Amino acid sequence: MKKADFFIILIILLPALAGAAFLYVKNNHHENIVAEIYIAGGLNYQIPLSAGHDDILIHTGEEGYNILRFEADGVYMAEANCKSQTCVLSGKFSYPGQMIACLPHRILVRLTGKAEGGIDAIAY
Amino acid sequence: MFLPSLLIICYNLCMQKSNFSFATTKLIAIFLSVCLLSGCTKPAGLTSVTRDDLLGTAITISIYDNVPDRLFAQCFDEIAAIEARMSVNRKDSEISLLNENTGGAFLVSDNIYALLQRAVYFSGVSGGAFDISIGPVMELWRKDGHFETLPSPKEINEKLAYVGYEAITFPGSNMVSMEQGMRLDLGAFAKGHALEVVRDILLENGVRHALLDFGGDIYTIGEKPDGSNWRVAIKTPIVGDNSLVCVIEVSDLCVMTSGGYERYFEQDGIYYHHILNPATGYPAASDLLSVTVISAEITGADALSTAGFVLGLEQGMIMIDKLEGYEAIFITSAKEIYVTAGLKGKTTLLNTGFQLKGN
Repeated sequence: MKKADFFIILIILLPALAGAAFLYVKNNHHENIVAEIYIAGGLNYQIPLSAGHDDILIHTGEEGYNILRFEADGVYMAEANCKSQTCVLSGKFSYPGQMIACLPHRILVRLTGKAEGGIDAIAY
Repeated sequence: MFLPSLLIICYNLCMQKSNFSFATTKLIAIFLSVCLLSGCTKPAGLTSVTRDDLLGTAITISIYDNVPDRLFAQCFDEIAAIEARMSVNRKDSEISLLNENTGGAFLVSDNIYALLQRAVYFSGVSGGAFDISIGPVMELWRKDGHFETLPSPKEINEKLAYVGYEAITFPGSNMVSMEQGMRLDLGAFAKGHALEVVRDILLENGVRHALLDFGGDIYTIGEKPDGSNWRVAIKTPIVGDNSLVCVIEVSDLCVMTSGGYERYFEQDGIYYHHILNPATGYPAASDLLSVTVISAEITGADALSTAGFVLGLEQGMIMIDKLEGYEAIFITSAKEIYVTAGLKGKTTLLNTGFQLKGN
């Protein structure tokens, strides 16, 4: 190995490890939560909550629609044209293990990731 | 998630230092990314499957042992079979057929026979605060299977005459008899029963660590793979508030909650929830927001959480204290949390808007 290569290894390794350490701490602090969006049983989107995201408009069937909104402190169903409105009324979610379900439209938003305080499941 | 960014950092550095040996740095960048990728995989053997098309809820089975995929299929097939037997929304379910054949003995499967005996037992234990014969009144409040219509007081009084678990008898092997016009509602009981059946399938297949979440009804199999207890939090029992109110540590136990915030409708500014008091035919109006029962006996915990919610703090606590193998958490409208003797010192408050009493 050339001497220059050795320096390059150092130059690459140090920032990479520093970057990894920074991201590790950052992710653990912000809980590293991902919203998995299932439509009719199939996984369609995986959205990290920490990154923020525009509204997602989901069309189901001929006239069904839902609008999923992402905010700094969680994700919620902002609008849906289903009759029950259960998903809209259920509020904002931010903990891994929680779900927003619009059963009439077969839409399921599941939050996954490692929770602060090591919560394994949520009873309700 | 941070791996792509790491790759970009490495790659950018490669480009900046391109007067050095480019091929080497590029290799290092790839090597580093691969190393880190292998370090951030999911826990060994964890497989988690969610379905939203059974029992009117979202069901997640998470297994922390290596198991064949067919085990998940077997569990979900069994849940579908339970729904087909027990749903009152299906005209051809065993319970619907039983409801159409009252006034004499009716032959049912082993499964339904055993379940009805237990349901009647817990109806008795709760002094009728939980009553599987609530069907005639419950049907007044439902439209197309949804809890959404307000019946008239006259309708409720008429149908209340047909409510009363004491009139359910078991005249012979697999025989169930009810008085004419009675109707069973096993809506609340089906989820707990399904949880119990899936638990048994997994145990028979040698599963040692698993977490079952049936629409917020939880069962934990064994301990966590690292040997510690599972930490199960309880959602703040208020509509639209998805914060967590407290947490308990459990293993080989279920955590079943009943509260007025789960299913409800509003009419003329009044809020009607789905847990009916069998004595009045109206939504239970106790001093509680929710009751959580913790036990190894799932259907019992399911029935007792409903009964506790109807009875209120004082009577509910007396009922649970009398029974072996059940613990409970009562959360009152005054935002106070009361726990039974076995949970003292094992409950941790998370929501500071609530007070943990006598812990």
